[in-house]
Amino acid sequence: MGTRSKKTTDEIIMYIVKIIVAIIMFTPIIWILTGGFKTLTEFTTSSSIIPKKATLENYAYIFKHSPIWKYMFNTIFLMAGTTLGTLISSSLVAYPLARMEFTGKKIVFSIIIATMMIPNIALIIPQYVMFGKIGWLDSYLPMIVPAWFAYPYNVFLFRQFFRSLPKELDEAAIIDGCSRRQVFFKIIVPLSKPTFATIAVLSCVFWWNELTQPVFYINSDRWRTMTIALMTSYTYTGGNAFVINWASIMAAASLMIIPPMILYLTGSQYLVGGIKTTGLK
Amino acid sequence: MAQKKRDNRTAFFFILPWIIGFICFTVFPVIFMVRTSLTNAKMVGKPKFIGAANYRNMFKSATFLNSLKVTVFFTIVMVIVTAVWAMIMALLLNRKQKLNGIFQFCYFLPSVVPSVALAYAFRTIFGKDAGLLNGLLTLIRGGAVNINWLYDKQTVYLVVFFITLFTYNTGQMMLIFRSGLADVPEDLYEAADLDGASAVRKFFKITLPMISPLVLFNAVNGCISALNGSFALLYPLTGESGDPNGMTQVLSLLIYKEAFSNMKLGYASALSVILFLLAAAFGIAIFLISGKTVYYEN
Repeated sequence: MGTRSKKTTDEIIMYIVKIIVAIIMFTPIIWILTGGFKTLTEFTTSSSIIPKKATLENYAYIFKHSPIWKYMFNTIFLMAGTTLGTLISSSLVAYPLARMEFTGKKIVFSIIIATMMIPNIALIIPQYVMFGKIGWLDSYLPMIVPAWFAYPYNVFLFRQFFRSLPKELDEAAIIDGCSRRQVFFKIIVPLSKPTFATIAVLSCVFWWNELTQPVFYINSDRWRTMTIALMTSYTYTGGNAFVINWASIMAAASLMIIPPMILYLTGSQYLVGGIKTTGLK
Repeated sequence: MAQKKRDNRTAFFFILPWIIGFICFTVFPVIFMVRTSLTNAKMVGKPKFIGAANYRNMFKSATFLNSLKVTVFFTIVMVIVTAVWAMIMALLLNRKQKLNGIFQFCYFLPSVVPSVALAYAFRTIFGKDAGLLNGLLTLIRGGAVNINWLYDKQTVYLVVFFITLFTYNTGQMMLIFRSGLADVPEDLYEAADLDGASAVRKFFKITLPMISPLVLFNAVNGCISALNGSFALLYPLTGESGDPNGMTQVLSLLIYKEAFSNMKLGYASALSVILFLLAAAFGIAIFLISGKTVYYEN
């Protein structure tokens, strides 16, 4: 009897701790979502989470006074271009690393692991100068083109997945007279659909949220992505005062949170499962 | 023999995209970075070779020395703080109870929120006049609390490291730890229970050693994320000068400022070389501390 009630108390304490952590983790999201419905005056004068009088004026503002549809389309375009590129190129590169024997395999793989450790930001200045020389600045080319030449991180992930397929598949197909190219496109790719979905989801989340590269490479309004728009489109220099329209920023930020949220709720096996696999060595 | 040769050729064609990408977007920029760092390149005009002058100036600059210190401090503390928090969340979720799915949703969702949105949310949550935290403290204390958390020298680090708990990095670590915890065999704990081991002892003697490869992976990955991802968080949070007083000006912010506000590309390249070396140093240090390297089977 005694141990049983101790167990129940244990359970309850556990729940309370879990709920407290959940409240902490969810606070910024609630703050953003409700902030979008506050008037700017309320946002800058009251610290209450719940809006006193919910308003849609911020949403009206961001749709009327900023080309937010364009920013969203831009972000999706960038996301699609990079994701498609990395899926195709990284899977091709990963195939022989996972399932073939060839001279120099070890060296290639070691270099790929080593380059995974380079923080991109260390190379962004020389890349900026380089892309400037060939006239690629203020376009998506500096982000989309490298994606078509395999990201080490995604190569590594594809390799991990490809290795888990039975080796006999390739051997049997080759004995039947298939070429390596046919094995890849006719056997490996169809069997790896969940893998492609996983890496597509991870890549989409990354590019939906990416700020650093657009900040460096994009100047003009017409190529602005949602993340840059959040930083720059709702601040003004009015007279000699610097005004930040926080309420509109929260409304725009709400729009940015919704797609990843839906993605989690509908495709969590790819998102959560994919991230879990990144740690498996 | 002929088969082997043909396989080599096929493999080469598969790998070709990476070879081109590696040469064009990694090797060439590295060489170019080192070369530019030895010039006085500006945004416009012809660069002149000036030898190691950028590096000499750098080590005489208080801003750079401060930034280097901040970067090392920020990286180490961020990795520790986020890893510990991720472990706490993973342990909580590992305890099988009802509603775990909802809890995981709440714990993980901030990770997929864009860092700009997070930064702006926290700038107002920790704001001086209508901030959520000041509002709560005012309620508790009964008198007005007006701390400018992000601009106060005494609170800025507290707040910034708290905010790192909401980044993608933390969510990723949590999920990786979770999958590791799920794989620890039950019977190890049962044996420890018979010996009457406490929960803390079980964690340090069984759980932690069992998932140590994942801890190592998360440490390496966390360092790269801290060096790389800090820009996307800190630039919208504390600006390119790393307010207050450069206390949060990590190297990536300084690089951005020197390149785009001061137009000094040569100097910014020299800073990039340092950041590059720093990342390598962190990588080597972690492997040395851990005393073993992650083993990649062929």
